[in-house]
Amino acid sequence: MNERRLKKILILAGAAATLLFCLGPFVYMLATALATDPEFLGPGREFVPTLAHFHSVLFSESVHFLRYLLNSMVIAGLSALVSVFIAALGAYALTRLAIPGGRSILLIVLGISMFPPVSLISYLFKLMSALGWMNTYPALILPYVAWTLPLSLWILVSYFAQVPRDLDRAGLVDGCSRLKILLRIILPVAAPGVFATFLLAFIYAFNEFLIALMLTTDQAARTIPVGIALFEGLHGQVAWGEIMAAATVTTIPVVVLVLIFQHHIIQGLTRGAVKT
Amino acid sequence: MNIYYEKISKQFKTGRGVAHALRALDLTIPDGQFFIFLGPSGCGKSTLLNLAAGLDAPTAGTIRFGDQVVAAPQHKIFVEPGARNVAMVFQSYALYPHMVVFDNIAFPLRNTRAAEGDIRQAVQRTAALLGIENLLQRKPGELSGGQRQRVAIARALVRQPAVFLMDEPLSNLDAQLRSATRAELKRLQAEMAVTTLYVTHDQTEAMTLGDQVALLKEGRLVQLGTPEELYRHPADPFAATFIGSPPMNLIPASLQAEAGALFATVADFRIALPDRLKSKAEGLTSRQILLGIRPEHLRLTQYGLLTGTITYTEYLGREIIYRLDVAGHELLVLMDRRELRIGQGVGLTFGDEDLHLFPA
Repeated sequence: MNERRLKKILILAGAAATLLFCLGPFVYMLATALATDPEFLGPGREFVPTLAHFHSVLFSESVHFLRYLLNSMVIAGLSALVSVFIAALGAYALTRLAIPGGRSILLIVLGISMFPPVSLISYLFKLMSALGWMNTYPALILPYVAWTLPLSLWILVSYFAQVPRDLDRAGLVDGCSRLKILLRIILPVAAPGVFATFLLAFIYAFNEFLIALMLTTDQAARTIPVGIALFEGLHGQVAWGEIMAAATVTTIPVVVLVLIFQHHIIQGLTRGAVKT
Repeated sequence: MNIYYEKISKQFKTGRGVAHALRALDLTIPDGQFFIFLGPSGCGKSTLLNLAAGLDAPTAGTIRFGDQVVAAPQHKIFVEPGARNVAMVFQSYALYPHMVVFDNIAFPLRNTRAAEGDIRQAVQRTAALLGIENLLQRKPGELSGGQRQRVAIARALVRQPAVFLMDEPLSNLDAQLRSATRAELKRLQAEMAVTTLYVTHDQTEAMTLGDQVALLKEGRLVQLGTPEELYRHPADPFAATFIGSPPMNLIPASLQAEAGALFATVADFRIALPDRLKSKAEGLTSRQILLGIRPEHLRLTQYGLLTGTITYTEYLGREIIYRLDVAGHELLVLMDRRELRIGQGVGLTFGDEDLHLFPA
């Protein structure tokens, strides 16, 4: 066996191990969702496929699964949108305008983002109760925007810094205001970064559990992660089949989003802007 | 429309203090001229352009476009770049990469809320002027360097600006394309008769394009004049060596007056100075001077005013550069002949009229 072949085998083995590590849980989730008996791996059990779990998750009224999914998508979508927009304004200012202490602002933002959410939870609870916002969308969107903002800002700053400064100057000479330069030139040129940031913020908000658990009480605003955690089986036991089916369906919007944006993220939009 | 820079200073705050980009500079650019800011990097030429564009504000002084003051920090006047009706071509072209060529050219017009029909017409007309009608639906990424350059010029021309600003627009093109584009720029500018400020560090560009050239160094104006004036009457050793290629020879010498005649001595050589240099020589405080003579004005002969040996030759095709050692100083000679060898002793002659004199 020559060295080249060995190398190839090692690469394949590494790739297989990585794939197994990443996709293994997903496969197990899917299999459990499709199995009649969630303990199908145990001794003496067998795998009998069924769609019953999916059916009950999607169509039984009492589960409210589709409502949770809708809540999650709207809340995560709006949070990501607002977060990216505010972060874009901030990133533009930090990369383009002569702001005194711009560097320290970024570091302070980073520092603040390290506060564990759990330390804020009781305050948030009191605040939202006082505002009368408990169990509503804004109760989650507001904290999610604040929570994802540092991340969005840092990513966008790094993307905006790569957009040639001459494009701003050209925009100014061509009669744009600063806001117009951001909207018409910088955002489209940095689109791959903007999409990536939106996706990350969306996934963060979509996965968030603790705040959602504390600030929602029922299907009016409850999100998927909380919904799944509070899933109750018919006879008091843990409904693994339904939980796995729900989790499987939940991955779909995220995967679809990634597939839609993938094209934009990979496309090198800055190509041809300036001679390098 | 004349452009006036009056007592313009510009300082930048850097990590290590304040950098002076411009120091109380006065300049007037007459209407319709192709005006060149020439100088080495860091001389303040790009800053002058940015100040005219409104991309930078002066620290002190006044900038006027005709009668309109566009920047005067002492009176808190600053006109935004978009309101100055200037157009700019950038060294990097700075095309909008997400827009097709048509939209790139139309962009400045769309910001003025012009009617879409008028915009279409103006874009077509400008594109035709530059021969890029067939590229209108392409994105900048699909264009060659020369084509991008044309799009950048079209975007600047399209709204018929009052002032045309160019920041080293040719420096990213290869040599052949550069000289072709240079000729075309000159033609376009003459046709449109728009006051043009052009920044370059390339003296060839400055000489071929400029109606007038302002030579700058360290934020100060060294010399202002037509290309010919700068070539024939350089104001100081810097101007003498910056303009012309290869640069002018400067030979340290000392002045001597004898019976009403002036001489410069270099080692054992004595060179009689023409009368026209007399007044300049009398104004000097020191007897130490620099004698200037351009390589193309030196001739190699058997017996000359100076003698030296050839140390090195550079073959340029039609011409050849000889490097000579003359009494320990290196002199360059640019000429046609090439049957001379390294190490050979030669004599040098030159005409009185080609001699320059500078304080050392």
